[in-house]
Amino acid sequence: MVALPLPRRPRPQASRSLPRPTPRLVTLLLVLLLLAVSVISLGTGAAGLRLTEILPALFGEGLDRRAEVILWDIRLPRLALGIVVGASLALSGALLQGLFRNPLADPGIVGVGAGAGLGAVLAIVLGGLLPPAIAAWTGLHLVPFAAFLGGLGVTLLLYRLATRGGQTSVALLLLAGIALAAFAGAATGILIYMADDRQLRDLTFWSMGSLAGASWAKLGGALPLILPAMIAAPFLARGLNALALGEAQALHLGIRVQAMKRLAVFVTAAATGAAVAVSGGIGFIGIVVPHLLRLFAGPDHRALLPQSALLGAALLVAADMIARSIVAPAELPIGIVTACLGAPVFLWILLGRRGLTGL
Amino acid sequence: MLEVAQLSLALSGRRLLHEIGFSARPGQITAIIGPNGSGKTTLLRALTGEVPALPLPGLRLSLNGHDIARTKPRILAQFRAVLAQSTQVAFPYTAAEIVRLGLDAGSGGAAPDLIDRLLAEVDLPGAGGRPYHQFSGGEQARVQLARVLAQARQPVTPEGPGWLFLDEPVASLDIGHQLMVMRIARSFADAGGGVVMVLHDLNLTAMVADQVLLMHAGRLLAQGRVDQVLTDALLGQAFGCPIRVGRAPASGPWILPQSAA
Ligand SMILES: Nc1ncnc2c1ncn2[C@@H]1O[C@H](COP(=O)(O)OP(=O)(O)O)[C@@H](O)[C@H]1O
Ligand SMILES: [Mg+2]
Repeated sequence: MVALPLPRRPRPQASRSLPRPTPRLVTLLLVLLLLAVSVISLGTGAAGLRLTEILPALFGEGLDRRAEVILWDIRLPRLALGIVVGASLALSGALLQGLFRNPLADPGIVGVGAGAGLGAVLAIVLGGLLPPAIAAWTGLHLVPFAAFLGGLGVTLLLYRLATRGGQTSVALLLLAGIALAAFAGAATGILIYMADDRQLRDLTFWSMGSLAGASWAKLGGALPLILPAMIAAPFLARGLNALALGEAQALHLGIRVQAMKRLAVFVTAAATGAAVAVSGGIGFIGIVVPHLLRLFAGPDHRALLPQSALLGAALLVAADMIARSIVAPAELPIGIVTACLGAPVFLWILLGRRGLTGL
Repeated sequence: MLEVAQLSLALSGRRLLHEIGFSARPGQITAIIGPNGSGKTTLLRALTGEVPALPLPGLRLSLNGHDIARTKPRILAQFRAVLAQSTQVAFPYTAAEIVRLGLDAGSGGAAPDLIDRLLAEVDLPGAGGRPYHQFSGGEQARVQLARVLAQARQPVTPEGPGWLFLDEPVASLDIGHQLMVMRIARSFADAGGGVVMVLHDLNLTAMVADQVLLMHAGRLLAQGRVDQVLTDALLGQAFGCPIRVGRAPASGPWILPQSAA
């Protein structure tokens, strides 16, 4: 008998560890990125007003009347809206993915955005039928809240359809999302036929997905949804981390799973609804941003959630700059830009998951 | 102390557990054995409050005096950790991040190097930075064990004795690591904690268990010390084949698969 040399047992190699930067460094870099993109964005626009002319005005120095209007009534609200919408979309993507335990769950893809859109269109078209007193009272909050309710409805329905005993079937999730999006789209289409001319203008502009028409008032209409969502999100981080091991494990790690999931659904719907209400259907931010961050900075939700908001804001502001400058003086709907960037990333994720059980 | 009485359970309309009653003491290892599908995992899930028991008269399910069904998960997590039969992780967490989940859930202070120490204890030294998905099945099982040990890092907590509930912790492990897990369970119990674990291997059971629960078709067929439960008659009845329990002079009983005719 020949004794074979014993193969040495492979030891885990430290060198195979992920070279991840510390969360604090990543957050710092993202803050700087957002600042840089914001400043550049302020200096970009059809009016040709340069950064050097704009910056002094920010600090209260004299500026001619025209420049002042462009800065305070056009560029700044648009920048603020871009930041808020980008942060909301990316945050709701990260939350939805954590909730469904799957990196493919994106509010746009699984129909939450379409549901929010239906809610918004309902509010735009039927809002005209409201008695003036009520209409005055709801004001600019009507559309965002209707979008929130639409998004909430779809998220709850999706969860019912795609999840059994804590296990999400991704195939069901995506297919049910397609069906729900198609239904919401059809209902939206019917409503558009019912719309009058003025509403139609609102709708076309809105359905293309754009930050054009940004105003402080619009921003104010969405803030009552976005602020609570942003404040609540960090409290979900620990629960979502535990949920990554499954519902039962999360329970044994001390998480009140049902309550946590309910809060996640509400926060997702609020953030998506608000974003969709003010900017229309801007896709793929919610899937690209968390995916990149998980890849390069790690999946820990305590860092992922705030970092998603930061990178989402930076990315959307940058996309808006591209949308405004690529066919200047006209502008491209921003949804086209984000889709061009996002769809390949989505396919890339899909390919990486090929062969995994149930996607 | 884990106290169970009149525990019955139904899932999807099927009655899976029938009037189970026993108690498990801290300082001891309680092993749950039985054939496939006899309800071992279901019993463990019921004991940990993962699935609710049927509210029949006489039902009792308490751990350290806490009614499992009424105690907040956060409180239970401070003195009890649970290892499932299998765990799928959704995102590319590293081993250290997985273990940290246990650390954050448990109670009491932890040394800064506890994660590294626990990974070394389950024979994965220096593996903290590796993504969980790159580990083999057996290695993943050990990462999860390290997480559970991080949560139950104190065998005795301010809330009373700590508890480990383990569902087939050695199912995917080689013999060396099986013994390692048994050693870890033993020292946890010796330090004053309680261990309740589902075991597949009758010999390991004979080696480490202080109390054995033998399940058959959702019922507790027998309970008691190793020499009371691991008998030809009971094992033969539970597993549906003749089994002869051997006995080495200097040690406990052992069961050769060959002895099952
Ligand atoms: N959720 C469920 N619904 C219906 N039957 C179940 C469910 N979970 C387990 N069972 C059944 O209960 C029985 C016991 O299962 P289990 O406790 O997993 O057995 P084991 O002893 O091998 O761990 C099996 O027949 C299984 O099919
Ligand atoms: Mg089992």
